[in-house]
Amino acid sequence: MKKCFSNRKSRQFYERRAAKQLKRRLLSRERRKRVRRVAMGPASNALTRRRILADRSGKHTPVLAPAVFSFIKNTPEMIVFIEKVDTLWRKRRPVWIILRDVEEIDYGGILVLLSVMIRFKARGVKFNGDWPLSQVARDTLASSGFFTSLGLSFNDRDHYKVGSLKGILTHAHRNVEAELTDRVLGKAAQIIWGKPARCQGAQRVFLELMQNTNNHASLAGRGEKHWWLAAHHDSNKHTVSFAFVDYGVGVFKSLRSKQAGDKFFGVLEKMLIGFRDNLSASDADVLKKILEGELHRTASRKYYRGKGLPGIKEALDRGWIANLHIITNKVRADVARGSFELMTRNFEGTFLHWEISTKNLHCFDDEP
Amino acid sequence: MNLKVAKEFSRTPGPRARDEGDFSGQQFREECLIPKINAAKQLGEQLIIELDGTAGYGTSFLEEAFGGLIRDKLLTLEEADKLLHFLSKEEDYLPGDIREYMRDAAQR
Repeated sequence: MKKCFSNRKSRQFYERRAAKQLKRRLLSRERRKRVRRVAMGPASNALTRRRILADRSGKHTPVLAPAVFSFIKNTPEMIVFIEKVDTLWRKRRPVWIILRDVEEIDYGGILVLLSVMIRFKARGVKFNGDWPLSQVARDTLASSGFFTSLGLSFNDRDHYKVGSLKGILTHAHRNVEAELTDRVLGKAAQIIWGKPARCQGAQRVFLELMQNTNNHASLAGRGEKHWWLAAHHDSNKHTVSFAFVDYGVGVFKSLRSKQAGDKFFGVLEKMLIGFRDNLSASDADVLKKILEGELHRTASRKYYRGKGLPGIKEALDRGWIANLHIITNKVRADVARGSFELMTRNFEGTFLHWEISTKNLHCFDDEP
Repeated sequence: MNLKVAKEFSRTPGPRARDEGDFSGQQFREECLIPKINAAKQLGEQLIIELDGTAGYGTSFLEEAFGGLIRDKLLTLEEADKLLHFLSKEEDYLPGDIREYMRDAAQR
């Protein structure tokens, strides 16, 4: 039948019908495309990658490392990575760490990787992986002793030591080791000032952190968890950077787990009530107050000068250390800049980073 | 009478309690501080505690060492204020901190 376009009503009828037919044709095309893709299977390069991973990882569970392997610069992805690896560690499942896509790695990230590796090996669980394609990342990792340690076996010990002073040196202990950290600072002083020096404020930071890990990192009791410390010496910039981590429960979970009778029982709730003008106050706001000494004031109605975490903040304020970053539970803080933010991801543990350079306080032993 | 912490106890003061590590505040109080205090009392002298020369102090060490004197009722706060004199050029805030810990220990 010949189409009639002479009147408006007919034109509208044909236009609507054409639009519906077009829509049906497009849907049908998409459906046929989906069926064809399922029938053909995955693309060849995806198949190749899967085969390579399966060949290399064998019975290991592959875990992809973030491209920016830095706890400070890429906190959310690092937390996800640690969570995945920690789950496998708890289940005693062999792990294959995919490092090939890592483009940037710092000593905080290396500390995480080394501590993860040693924890796996100490438990007798297989740990393996590939290398970063990036030469810079590979060289940084090599300087930490990671590749050398990959071939070693580690028992469940109280202390570990990996790496060298030429690159990144990592220690792990359960107790408070004042002599060790004094030696670490002594070596740092050689890099920074060219001769032995004491950095009392920096030593206080170490002592507070080791004490905290020993006393509060585990809900099961004291002295259960290792603390991990990495020092990176930059002789060109006369700066030494430190990263410290423990895989305990984190500051806030530890405080929330305190039992009745403990002086810190219920103290977080009391602190949050204190934020009367800020109804959206969060753990990020609370960490700021904790560093200012409010925790002890709320718990005991007495300001405890510089005790515990406030002692670390005081070391920063007095100029003993610089560039302090803290990551614990859902809080990330650049303390030097006064930036405290709440994250969506939770880190079960405590991570700190700080630096010492020629600008920081120190005492030479030959001074009168 | 003098007590130089760095020379007579340790260059590296450590944690609070003995079971947490070496050169603890508890060890310092029991092995070093109390004998010196008793000797100073017998002689009727003030005990001057020189804090300089160490690698640095943790707050828990200081609180356990000196706050512990008050908590364990070895000295009253008034006796401690008269008997103990603290010296520190390297960390001039230390004497004030220690007095604070002792005052707080007295109030508990």
